[in-house]
Amino acid sequence: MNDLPPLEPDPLTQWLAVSNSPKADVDGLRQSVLRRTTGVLRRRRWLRRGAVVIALSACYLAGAATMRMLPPPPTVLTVVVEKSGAPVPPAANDEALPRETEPRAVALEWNALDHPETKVESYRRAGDRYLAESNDVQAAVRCYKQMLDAGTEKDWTISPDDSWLLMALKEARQKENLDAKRI
Amino acid sequence: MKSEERVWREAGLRRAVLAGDERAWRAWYDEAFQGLFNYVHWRCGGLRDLTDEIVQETWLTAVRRMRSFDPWHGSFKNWLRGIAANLLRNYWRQPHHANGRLLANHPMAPPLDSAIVQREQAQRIAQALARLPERQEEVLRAKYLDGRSVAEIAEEWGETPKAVESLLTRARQAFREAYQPDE
Repeated sequence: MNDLPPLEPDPLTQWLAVSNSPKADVDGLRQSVLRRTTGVLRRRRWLRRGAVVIALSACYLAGAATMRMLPPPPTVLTVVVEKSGAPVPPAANDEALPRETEPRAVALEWNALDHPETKVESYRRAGDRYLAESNDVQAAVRCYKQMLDAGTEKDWTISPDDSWLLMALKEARQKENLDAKRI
Repeated sequence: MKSEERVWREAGLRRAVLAGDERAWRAWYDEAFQGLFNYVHWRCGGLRDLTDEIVQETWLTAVRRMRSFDPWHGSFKNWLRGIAANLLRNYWRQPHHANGRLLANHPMAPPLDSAIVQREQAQRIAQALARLPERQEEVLRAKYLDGRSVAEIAEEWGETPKAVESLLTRARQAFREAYQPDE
């Protein structure tokens, strides 16, 4: 009997021994695996944040590129309109200064009546003054009309120094004259 | 824990982990670590080095594939066991592992002959467990790893104690047959 080979142990018995074995020391493994898995989580979090930053940067760059491709906005011209009655600061070389010393429009008109030899110039200046001082178109037309009536064809020539109203009246007078000649 | 309560809790933890919450991950990890280790240790036939390797790979796979975990389809514990079972199946499928010799030459293996024999037996147990049909593996696990009685298993699975007893008998027999070394 003693020469018989030993029986192979029952696998189920062995396996039960394994499944019932005392708890193995797993703290080292637990800590090591926790570190590795936490590292994966951390990397994932940073990747997600990086993706958000990249997406926002891409949006910003796309917007900047779009703005660059658009045509530039039209230049805004600032037009300053000076009111005729607005106070103008005095200046030493200002041409307005001598005008202040000029007689008023009414005085100039009277002057034209009193001095017929200079009435063309006086009426013209009176018309200019009416327009410039009080924007009195009616009075200016009256003066300009007197000036054109008293003047010659040379005085009807449009000059760059003329006011807009005098230019219009001169043009009308030239047309009238031309039409009269045709008839 | 009730099933619905478990689902909502695990769904919340899953969301937190996907958002990169390390505290949620740690809590979940600590809760499930020992159970997974015991399961893998049992499936590896008590081979500690293989157990450590599979446990580590299981956790790394879990944290990387957390998005695929669905609490409504099963518990986190079972999901982890499924990953571990797949890893073990793949491990034993590799030809150089299937012959049961490689681990004997593993640097971590003790050089003594008795230790090598012991390791080979453990490998055969692990391979036998890996060859069992899923249902038989489950009933052996419930009985010997989780330490449940036949009545408890029957109640949980919704079957009669007699049916569970019969399944357990077939599983034991299948395990013994799977354990027999190939001629």
